[in-house]
Amino acid sequence: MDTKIYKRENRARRYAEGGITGILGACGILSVLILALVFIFLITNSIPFFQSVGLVNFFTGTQWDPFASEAMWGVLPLLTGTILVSFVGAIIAIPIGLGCTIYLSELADSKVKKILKPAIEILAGVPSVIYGLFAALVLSNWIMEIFDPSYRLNALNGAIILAIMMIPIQVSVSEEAMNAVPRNLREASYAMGATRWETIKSVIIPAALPGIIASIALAIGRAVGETMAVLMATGNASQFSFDILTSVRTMTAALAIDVPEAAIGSLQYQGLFAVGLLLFIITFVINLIADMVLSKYQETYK
Amino acid sequence: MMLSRKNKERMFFWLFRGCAAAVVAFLTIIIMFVIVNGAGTITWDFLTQNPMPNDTGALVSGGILSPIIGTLMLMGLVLAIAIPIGVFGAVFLVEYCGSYKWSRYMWMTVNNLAGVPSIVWALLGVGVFVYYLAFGLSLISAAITLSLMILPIVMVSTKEALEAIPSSIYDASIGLGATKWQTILHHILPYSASGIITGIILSLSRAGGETAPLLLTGVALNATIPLSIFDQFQALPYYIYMMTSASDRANAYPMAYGAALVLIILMMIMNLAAATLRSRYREKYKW
Amino acid sequence: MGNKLIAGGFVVLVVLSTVLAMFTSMSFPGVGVLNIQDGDELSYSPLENPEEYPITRPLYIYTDGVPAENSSLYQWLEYIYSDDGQLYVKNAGFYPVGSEVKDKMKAQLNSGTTNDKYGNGEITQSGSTTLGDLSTLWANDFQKKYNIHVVLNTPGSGTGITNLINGFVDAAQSSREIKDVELESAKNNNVNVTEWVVAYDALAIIVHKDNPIKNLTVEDLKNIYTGTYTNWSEVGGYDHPIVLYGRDSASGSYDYFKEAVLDGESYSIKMQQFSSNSLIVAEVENNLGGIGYVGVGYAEESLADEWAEEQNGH
Repeated sequence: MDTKIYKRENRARRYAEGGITGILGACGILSVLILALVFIFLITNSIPFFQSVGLVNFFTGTQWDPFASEAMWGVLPLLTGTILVSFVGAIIAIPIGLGCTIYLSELADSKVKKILKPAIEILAGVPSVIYGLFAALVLSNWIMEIFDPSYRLNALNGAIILAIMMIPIQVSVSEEAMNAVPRNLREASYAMGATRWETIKSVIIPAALPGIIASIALAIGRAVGETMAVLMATGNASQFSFDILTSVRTMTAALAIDVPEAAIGSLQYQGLFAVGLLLFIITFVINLIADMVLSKYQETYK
Repeated sequence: MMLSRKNKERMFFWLFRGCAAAVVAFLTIIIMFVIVNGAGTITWDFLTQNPMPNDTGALVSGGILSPIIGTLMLMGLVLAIAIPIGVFGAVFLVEYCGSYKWSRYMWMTVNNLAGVPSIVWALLGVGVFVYYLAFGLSLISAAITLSLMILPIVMVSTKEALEAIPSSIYDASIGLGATKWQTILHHILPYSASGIITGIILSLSRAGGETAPLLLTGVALNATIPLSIFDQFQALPYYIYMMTSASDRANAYPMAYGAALVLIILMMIMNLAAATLRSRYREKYKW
Repeated sequence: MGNKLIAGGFVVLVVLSTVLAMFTSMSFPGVGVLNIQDGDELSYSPLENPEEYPITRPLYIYTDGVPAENSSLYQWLEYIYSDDGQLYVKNAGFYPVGSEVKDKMKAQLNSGTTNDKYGNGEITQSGSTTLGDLSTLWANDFQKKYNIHVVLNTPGSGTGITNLINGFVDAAQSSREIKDVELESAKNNNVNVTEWVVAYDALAIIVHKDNPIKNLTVEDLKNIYTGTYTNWSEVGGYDHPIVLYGRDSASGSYDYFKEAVLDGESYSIKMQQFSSNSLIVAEVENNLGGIGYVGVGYAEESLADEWAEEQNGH
């Protein structure tokens, strides 16, 4: 008789277990499906555009004017805009970020570190519109006074504010990488008579290099995908130019400006999806690189 | 001239200190600008009135009540939509599918989707929710779009919290006769709760600070507090953006700074809560 | 490194930043507004002679059909054509509709219709930023009088019209006439576009307040904005490059200017594009070689003192 009750309880528990597993499973499948949705949606909406306008036109045209009566579909102005602000931003951010990381990981004493590290992590979460506010209202005026450009809102403004936004991300990730270098490596280096700097230069940095590279890739990925700060900072003239003191329009800004105006299903709508697809692919590749580098690195140190 | 090794080290170290100082300086200057220019506008009226037009029509009078409520409502909806799917989905994928080979590639994909630009999510939001599902320009379109945007982040942080638990706890529980689900419910989840909750708070604060998805899915200039999820709405980040392009700049700019200050304070509170939770639970559950 | 030194250094940084923030003053010196002449005619100021000014344009609201009498949209349009509504047109810096047009619009409103598409609840209107301030004044007053909420959105005239065609909003506000392609689109979506002229705007051409040029012809303007002229000396000013500011493609002003001044030709690609009138004012104010086009209300608000005095001296 006891066994009968026991079996019944067991069965109930198994049903409950199955039910809950089912719910969790549904959530799991749902989450993966949703994520696949993005890619599929981008592709299905851009294919008609590529069919009618063509890949060559898109990738080699130097004018972007989708709503003109003679629509121009060259993505180059937008692409160079994005590259210009992201790369110049990276050139500014990476050295400063690395220097800051080395300080944080090796030189700062623990009290300073305890405050500085979380402070930088919190600052990575400041909304981008606030950086945009600063760039539009204050930074642009400072750039006017120092460089006297013919445009107040220009690519340099965008690059500098992006650099400021990139540094916290880059510092967080690479600091963890440097921290994770095992103590015995450092001690071995000191034991052989190296100074602290020589140890950092020749032992720690090479050991943490994958993490550092990943952090740079992540930061650049963030810069490429940033919308509000560049929208407010760069003046949005869609011209194909490499002049840092001129106004540019990034891919993200072009989407923010042009998508609301496009009638759903029109050629402009599809063309903008093509830009979105390109942007998606670029950020995906950058993040993939960061991921691969990081996972290889973690395998080495398991 | 060859610097001695010691002097070389000293030079580089001062360079690195300088870099750290520069970083702190940039961020301090920006924060101080917001505080100095914005603190003056924060009054009780500012926080409890909706934006109102001045004599020539610019919405620079009144306050930021509807933007604040709009942002809070957005975060609430995102909490209701994204968190259950993200957390439970991640639990399922980690606990029940962790051994499959495709699991690794799937998580790599999820990780990368966390890096998709917010404007691309906005594109999705417009095409699918505003238009295809006919939700129109509304609070719910924006909320779902934001939920999709933070879903990967929630999933990844849940996964990391779950994987931080030593497998010995899991094995011990199973060894004592508990079912898989009982183990998860009573042993794994409590230990990982702090990590999961931290991830939730940080994702919500990220969602609350985003502007681009809102621009495309339903913000309105003079919206009041939404009475239904299909209404248009205001939000703090959009209000700030709007104030930088409004006329009557002498009044608009201080309002922008004031709203920026409120937004920063809101974000700071959330991030501090997350950080405190993380450190407190880390101490409580040491193994 | 002494922690006290670091802490002290941080305090100094905070104090310096605060001082910097307090002394980085926001100053708004204002802009100059040019008189424009069309060919051999006299040159007119948009602030004083909007009727003769060559680039004056109507401002529109578009709806899907004429709203039924019991709907809130009917009340909204009726309010706009009332004396109160047209008074706010002046407050926003624009020009009210003349009696002829007003009568025509009122007749259209009362043309009797069975369009019961619109209810008597909230109204959503989307579109022109030029009309943004004016609509806000209207909506605010309308709410006080009739307790009906009008929700406004200003992503640009083109976007507003698209929203109307897609069925996302009840009405579109536009600073340009609807295009033929858009009418086509509307027909395909079963939207019966009905046009309402609600105010007039003289599109003002603004320059830096220290710019010695006071007049331009429409022809000059065209050459400047298509990129043919690149230096102020080519129109009789100092040797200084011309820096172009304008609106983005979603804007009605962008389209109107292109049609009326550029005769449909393309803008120079060097033109910086902005989403609102006030942003253009902010740029031209700071750039000696700057030139921009904005709604007259926005120009009037930012008119530099020196230029205001000169105008009054006439």
